[in-house]
Amino acid sequence: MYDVIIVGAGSVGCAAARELSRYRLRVLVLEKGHDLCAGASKCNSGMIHAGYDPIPGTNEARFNAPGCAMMYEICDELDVPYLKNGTTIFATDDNGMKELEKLLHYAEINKVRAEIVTPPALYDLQPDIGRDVRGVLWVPDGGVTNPFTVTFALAENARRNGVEFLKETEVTGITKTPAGFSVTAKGSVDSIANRPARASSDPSSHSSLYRSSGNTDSGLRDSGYRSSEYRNSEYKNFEYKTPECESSDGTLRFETRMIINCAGGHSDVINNMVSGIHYHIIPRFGAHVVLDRKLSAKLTTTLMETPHDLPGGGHTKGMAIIPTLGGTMLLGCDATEVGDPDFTDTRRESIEQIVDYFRAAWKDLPLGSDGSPFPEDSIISIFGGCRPHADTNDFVIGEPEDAPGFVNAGGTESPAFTSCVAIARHVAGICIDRLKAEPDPDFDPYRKVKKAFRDMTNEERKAAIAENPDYAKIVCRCEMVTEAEIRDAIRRPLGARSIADVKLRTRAGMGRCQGGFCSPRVLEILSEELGISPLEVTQCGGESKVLCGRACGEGAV
Amino acid sequence: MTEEKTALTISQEQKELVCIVCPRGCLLTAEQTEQGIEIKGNFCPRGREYGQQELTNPMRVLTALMRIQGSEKPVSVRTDLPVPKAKLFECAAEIYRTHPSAPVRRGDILIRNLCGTGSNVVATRDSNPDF
Amino acid sequence: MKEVNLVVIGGGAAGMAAAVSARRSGVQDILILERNPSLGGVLQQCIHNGFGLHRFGDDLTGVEFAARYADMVKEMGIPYLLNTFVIALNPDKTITAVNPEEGLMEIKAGSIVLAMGCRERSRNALLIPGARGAGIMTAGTAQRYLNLDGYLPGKKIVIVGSGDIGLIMARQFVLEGCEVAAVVEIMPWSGGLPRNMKQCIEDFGIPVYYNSIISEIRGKERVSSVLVGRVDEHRRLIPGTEFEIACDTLLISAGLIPENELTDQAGITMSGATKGAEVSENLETSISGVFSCGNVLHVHDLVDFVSEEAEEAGRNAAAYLLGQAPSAKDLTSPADDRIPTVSGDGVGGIVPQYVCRGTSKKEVTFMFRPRSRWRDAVIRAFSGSDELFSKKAVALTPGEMCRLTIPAEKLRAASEIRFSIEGTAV
Repeated sequence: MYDVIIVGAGSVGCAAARELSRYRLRVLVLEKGHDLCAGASKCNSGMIHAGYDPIPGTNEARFNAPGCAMMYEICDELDVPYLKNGTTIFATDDNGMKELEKLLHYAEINKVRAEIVTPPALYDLQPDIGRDVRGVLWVPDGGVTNPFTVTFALAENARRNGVEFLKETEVTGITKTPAGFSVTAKGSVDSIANRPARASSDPSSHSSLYRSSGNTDSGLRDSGYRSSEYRNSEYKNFEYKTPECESSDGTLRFETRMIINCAGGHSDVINNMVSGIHYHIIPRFGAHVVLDRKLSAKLTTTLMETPHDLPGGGHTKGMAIIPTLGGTMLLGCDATEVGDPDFTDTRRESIEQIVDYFRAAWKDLPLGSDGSPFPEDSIISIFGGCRPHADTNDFVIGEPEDAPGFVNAGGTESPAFTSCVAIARHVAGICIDRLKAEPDPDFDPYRKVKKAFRDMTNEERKAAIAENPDYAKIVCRCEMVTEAEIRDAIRRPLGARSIADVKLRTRAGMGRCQGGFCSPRVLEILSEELGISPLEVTQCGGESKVLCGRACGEGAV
Repeated sequence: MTEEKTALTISQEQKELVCIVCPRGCLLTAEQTEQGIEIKGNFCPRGREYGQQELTNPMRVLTALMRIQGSEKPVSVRTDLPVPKAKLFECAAEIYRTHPSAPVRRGDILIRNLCGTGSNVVATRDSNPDF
Repeated sequence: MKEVNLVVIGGGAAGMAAAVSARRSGVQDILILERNPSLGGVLQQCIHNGFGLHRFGDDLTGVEFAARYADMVKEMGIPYLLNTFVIALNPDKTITAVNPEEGLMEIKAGSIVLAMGCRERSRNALLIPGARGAGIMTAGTAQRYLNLDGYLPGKKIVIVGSGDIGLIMARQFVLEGCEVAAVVEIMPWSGGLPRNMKQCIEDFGIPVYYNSIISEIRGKERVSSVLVGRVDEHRRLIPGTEFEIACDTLLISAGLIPENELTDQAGITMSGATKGAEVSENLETSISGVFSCGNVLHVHDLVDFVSEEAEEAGRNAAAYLLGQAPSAKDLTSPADDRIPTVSGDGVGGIVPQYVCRGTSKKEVTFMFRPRSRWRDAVIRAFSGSDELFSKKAVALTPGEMCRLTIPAEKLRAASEIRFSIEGTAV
């Protein structure tokens, strides 16, 4: 019997897991994706919104500003890099200036530091801004981080403190039981996604995974899992627990006292399984265009246009140009209603909307105020995904009246990423009170990670290579990612199992060549580390195998 | 332009043909005369030879991969002489069927007289190279 | 800090040829830095023939071509480091590189030849919308999976762009028993060599859709089909022209981009037209003693010309090191001593970007790609209204580089060297 099952391992779910791991509770996170951070969190821009724009009185307003402060706090604890670069919302006409006044008013009520700056003071703040800009709302507490790194760090820390995770496990039903809930799911505790990497220091360890003779019921991998993680001394503090479930024909059944619904785009489906108080998610697609880093020197703060109301309710913060930690820049995003919350295709219309917007606005931005045209040939990538907008036009937080023990953290569209820790503390708090949980004195709030090779000084690089020569093998040329870092991303608890997973954890393949050079080598390393044939390695889990067969006529159709 | 026209087929290329002897890619024109086929547009004599050959019995150098016993990765091979275009698939199948033992060295003849063409299959690199 | 007379960055076709010719010109202390586990660069995965006709008078495969140069490097005893990745290049000609044996090394070079090659344009750089699962890769990545690793990355393939790598891969996939369903090209002509269109595409009856783009990629975890649509004269999709082609793989073969991140990092002046360094007729960049050649300078059509250019760069680096070149001061002379080259009608980015008026060379070779296709053309070079040079060409296509060698005497009085193409556009 679990104390709490969290549905969804996005930023909110992983933050909730970490909050619960402060207590002596048995907690399981179920994620339908092949990796953590597979839904809306993955498609997020990584902006840390200060909280100037939510309408006062809403849940969004309630959690955003405190969440912003908490985000910086957990980034420090978990060794996640961020830029506190401030956010600049710019206006080029009277309507825009009126909008800035409104935002300033909201910011005051939401207790967010903000001020309107107009020329000439504006040119001290933003020397290169376009001369058509009439004024800006300067929000010094805005920032940028990386949504995957935050989510993985929260999950890893939760895991270190005893929380269990199952990936590729989709919740299909929830029924009430006298003790709480029974949760059924499709999945396998032994899939590649849930299996440990083999310890590369000992080639025999992989086969030992399958020879493990422990508890035949569900403990198939127990001893192997433990040994491989222990062999990597860095990870020795991660205690593995066998998932407690009944399993038959790919259906898993878990018993739990409480549930936290962090299912993002599917949070309505999960809620509606339990509660008669229904809500519905309106998936709102948005795309971002990524520009190569050679232009980044001129962009320090994040620049945004003024927000727009949307016909379907709520609003969008509008187009933004966002510097990223990797040195690239994000442009976006649009807001388009699509039917499927898992829709991540890039849409022609979205790309055109973004590129057309920035082509026109370029002269107002520091990068284009010198007259240089929009650098279309610097576009290196496009990504998109859906914001889980609830038809309540707000986050859906807390227990529905008709379902005690079932706690919603749904409708988590922007600014939910910024708010994730604040939301998590609130919903975890409900569970902790209800379960009368005791604090865990062994809780370790810290996570220490090695600096990325690309960020090291030459002295640090020498030391790293001396310790592990794999640091001298550059796999991803564009982002300077080493083999040591890729192997670590796979071996870490809740580590990478596909080429896309490696990319999110290391940036390998995120640069200008988009994996053209490095993906064959990443595939090879995954095959070695996971002890699987190269033919089994996937692009992004499931059936997304990269290779289709062997050469020399064996692949004939 | 209709789709049909943009989709090229071999049959349209009978009178004008691109010489493939070298990357220069001369545009040859072939005319049926009483003396036989006359080739024009060639830069060098090999172009005339190619044009004649192409219209009677087109020939191609075949390059492919070959599995090596005792080596995880295949080795690259070529025919030392061109083989009839009509026999390319048959020749490829023969190469795929043949699995010589490692080690294979660059220049080793791995199949003699491939499918009766008179051409040999030669390794273009060593098995187990650095890659 | 290690000191080396001549460092060659890149051990592919260009790097090896530059090193060999520098040694022949008398430079003893040379070091080639190569990031792959063997010399040869991308030629290692080019198992097809068609290389070496100009350079060696033999029809070689890419692998064999690479081996000829690698053998020369080894026979001459030119030192090279494999698995060695240059992570920094500084304006003072210091280089930082790493490899697993020696760790991080810093090298002070007397002269540097940049020979880093190029990379392929990706799906996202082309802004192709749609699904993002498995089955989308560049033709070169597919070539690597197939020819170096021995795996098929797909069985039913559509190729976008008609660059040479895609055409070569189309033939290889067909001979592997796979189906190549279409080649889709946005322009009205092929971007590859005519011979490759003939022997890789037409030989196998593969349909080519010109004036067309992939308007959408479909599929969930793996590509299941693509939509092909026609474009108007502004290269924008004409709505309603799309049709679907089932496939499991989309290969991108739509252009190459010189890999100039190190060049950029060193602050070397770049050309927007070629995406390579700006060079003089000596192939010298804006930093004196740093030369650039091969596909990192501009994307070539044939490896033979890469080698030829690289040998020239190697000779010039040797002359620089051995004191035969005009001094560094002359090479960075005021702008009025440089004669710029200018792209006129129908002419793409030109290498070199300028010629030093006092050049010691007897003749200067200029290279550029025509922007479109021509028949019965004349390429002319002008200074103002004075014609400096002209050359006839039966046919010109963007897939083939134009090369013109002009006696230096004819250039000395020029204020600029403007190239243009006249003829029948086709």
